[in-house]
Amino acid sequence: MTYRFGVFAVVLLMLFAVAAVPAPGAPAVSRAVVLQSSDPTSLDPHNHRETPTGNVNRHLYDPLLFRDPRTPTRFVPILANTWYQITETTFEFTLKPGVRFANGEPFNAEAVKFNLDRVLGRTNEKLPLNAYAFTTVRGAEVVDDLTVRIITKAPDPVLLSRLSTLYMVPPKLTREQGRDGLQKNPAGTGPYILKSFVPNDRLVLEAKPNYHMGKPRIDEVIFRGIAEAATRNAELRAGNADVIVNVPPDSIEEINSSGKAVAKSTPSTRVAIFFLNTLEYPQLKDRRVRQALNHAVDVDSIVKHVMRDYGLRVPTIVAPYFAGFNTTLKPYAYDVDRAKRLLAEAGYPNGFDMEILVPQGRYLLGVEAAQAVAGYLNKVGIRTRLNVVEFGVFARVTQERKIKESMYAAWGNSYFNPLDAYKALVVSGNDAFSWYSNKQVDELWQKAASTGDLRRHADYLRQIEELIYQDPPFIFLFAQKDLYGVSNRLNWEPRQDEIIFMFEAAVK
Amino acid sequence: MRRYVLRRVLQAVVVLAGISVLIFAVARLSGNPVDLMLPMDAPRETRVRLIQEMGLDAPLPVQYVRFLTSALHGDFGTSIRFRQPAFRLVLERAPATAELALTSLAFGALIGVVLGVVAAVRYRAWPDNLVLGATSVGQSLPAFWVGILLALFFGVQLGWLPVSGREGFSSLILPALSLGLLPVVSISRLTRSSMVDVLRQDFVRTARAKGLVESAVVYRHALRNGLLPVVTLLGLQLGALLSGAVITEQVFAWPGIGRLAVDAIQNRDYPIVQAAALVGSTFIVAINLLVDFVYTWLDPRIRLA
Repeated sequence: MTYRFGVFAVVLLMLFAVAAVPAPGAPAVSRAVVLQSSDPTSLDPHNHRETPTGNVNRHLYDPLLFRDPRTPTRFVPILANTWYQITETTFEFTLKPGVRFANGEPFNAEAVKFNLDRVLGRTNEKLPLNAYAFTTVRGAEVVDDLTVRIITKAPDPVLLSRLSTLYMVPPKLTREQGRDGLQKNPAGTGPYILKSFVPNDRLVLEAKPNYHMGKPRIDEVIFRGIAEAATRNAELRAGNADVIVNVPPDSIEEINSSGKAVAKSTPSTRVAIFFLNTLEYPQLKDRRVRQALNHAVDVDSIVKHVMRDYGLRVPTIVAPYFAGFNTTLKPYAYDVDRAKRLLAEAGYPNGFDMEILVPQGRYLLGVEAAQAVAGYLNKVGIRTRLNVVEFGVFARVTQERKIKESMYAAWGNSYFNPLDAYKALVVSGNDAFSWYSNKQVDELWQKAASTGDLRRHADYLRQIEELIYQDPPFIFLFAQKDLYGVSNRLNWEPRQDEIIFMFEAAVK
Repeated sequence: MRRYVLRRVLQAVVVLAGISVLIFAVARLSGNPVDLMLPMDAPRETRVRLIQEMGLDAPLPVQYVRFLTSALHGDFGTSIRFRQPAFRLVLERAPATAELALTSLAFGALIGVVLGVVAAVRYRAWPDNLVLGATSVGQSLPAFWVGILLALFFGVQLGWLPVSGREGFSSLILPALSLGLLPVVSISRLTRSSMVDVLRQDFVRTARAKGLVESAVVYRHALRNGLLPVVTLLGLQLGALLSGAVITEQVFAWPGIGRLAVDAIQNRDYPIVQAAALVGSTFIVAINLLVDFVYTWLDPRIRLA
């Protein structure tokens, strides 16, 4: 038996020894470590729709034009030197000469055409995931090697926004490698190239010294996916990270007092919205009831106490920095008496039942904010029931259009323009989040979506906002602020569009 | 013996088949990967097209048969998010999880047995009370909380050890410590009670009467007999450690199966969820089998029922 125990112990010890692997040494280069909540799912920039993935891809690939980090409604040239509108439906782009993809392929008008063909389903591949962002586009026309025209089916007031999300992939390599080729072997015109990617561990990017916008100031950028906010926070304070995302407001003190990092915030394009099902519940069809609900909730207090000021109150669902923001609208006043009066007028002096669907862990303090709204509604006699679900369940329930009276969600907007949000949320239709129908809104939206005149476009948007303010399909809340932790050794300011682009940063 | 082994192996296969049905159904009941891959404002047609592309529009039994047929051919499907073979993704993570679980187990066994013996030898005296008290506290501490505290103290405050990731032995220490807490508690308690029993037996009295020094009595004679139930526990602990590793891996961003699976569950990446669950359960079932076999091997008195 001694022998048998000996064998057992030796096996255990050997397994233990396997664990000991030496640590690699650190080379002397300037580097920035970015901690996001997850790994990129694809290094093919057309085949994903997620912010963490987009951030990695932005380093590898370039768009024709990119949002100005300081004035996000403006665009700066990247792969295109200039662009102008020739007709209502045609934009002409002059491309930057001499640019090459990381694999040596030249970037030219043919490449632009290939990229548009790809997202329009005209190559031999399956339609990529981002295709639906380009359904207004008819196609691209090559004029000469460095001139290309992009033509839309009808005037498209947000075409440039759409194009700023279209990162250019190399035609030849993409065709040769097939659908999942770029995933393993990405090659773009961006400031960095992929050095290594160990999923669930780290993705390392190496600066391209001959980048066409100039040599990147940071030699190496490392992306890690860490789901736990507490772990990202600990890594930042331990000095192992330079940018961390989605900092919970209650960690700000801790970060600022660490002496190694500071919390930075920026108003984001994500607007918190309390949806009301105005189609299926008679009490919520009544405009007076919906106005009453808006008067019943003290949104300023929620922003201050629940969101700890990491929110910006908005009169409707449009942030002040979006196109077509209606400056004449003032948020609904907090007025319990008026809310009660309106409810009584509508025939609900004793309130009614209301279920509130809200996803867990998805939106900044989402459950807490929904709870606070419920508390205010209780005070005017609405009997609320909070239904907190995991986000996968939330996505399913909403896509199947099975919500009850109400739900809480925060709506992102990468175009700084409410056009697509209006389409999804207030234009009649059976989209997952459209629980409202108003002919006037539908007509105005059609006009807004099909004019090439940006001034008239903004004017239609303002009229829509006025209409939904008067006849509120939602309880209007606030625009969220994004919170980042940034190490003291990094010069970087967060962008409003959630993009983390280290070419804009420098190490001190 | 051969019949016994065969019967146990067959039972294990039935258990695994049951698990595969369960995992398949549960993963699909609560959500859909397409809803999570696309932003909320994606048009309906895009969603429908993707669902068709992935074959998720077929009835569940049809999907299950498809899954089972390819699984029997060693193909667990392609990860929906990463578009890579799910089984390979899981296997790539297996060494990290094994490393963490085995280190924790070794740590737990070592400390646990030492504490248990000390407590048993000084039964009802202060060392015993100390061990009992400490293990009671240890038992009630959630592993993730201990993990975060360890990371804050050794990683942030002192800066001695890495906070997260897997880069060499130093990054293994904190996760293994926090995961090893559970086996320390259960192994020390079991060792203690088992040793207390053994130390009261006749052969121990005989050994002492022979005039052997106390350490020889305890370590050479009593411990060997007292450890028998601990061996069983070790095997069972490994199963518990694998499930515990899910949380620990999350806290320390340890690139193991647990973290992969949690991610996959949140994104309804069915093929990975299925592959991870099957690999995990196969492992646990295999360990249980092995423990039973080792047990009969270690103690020939135990005959097969």
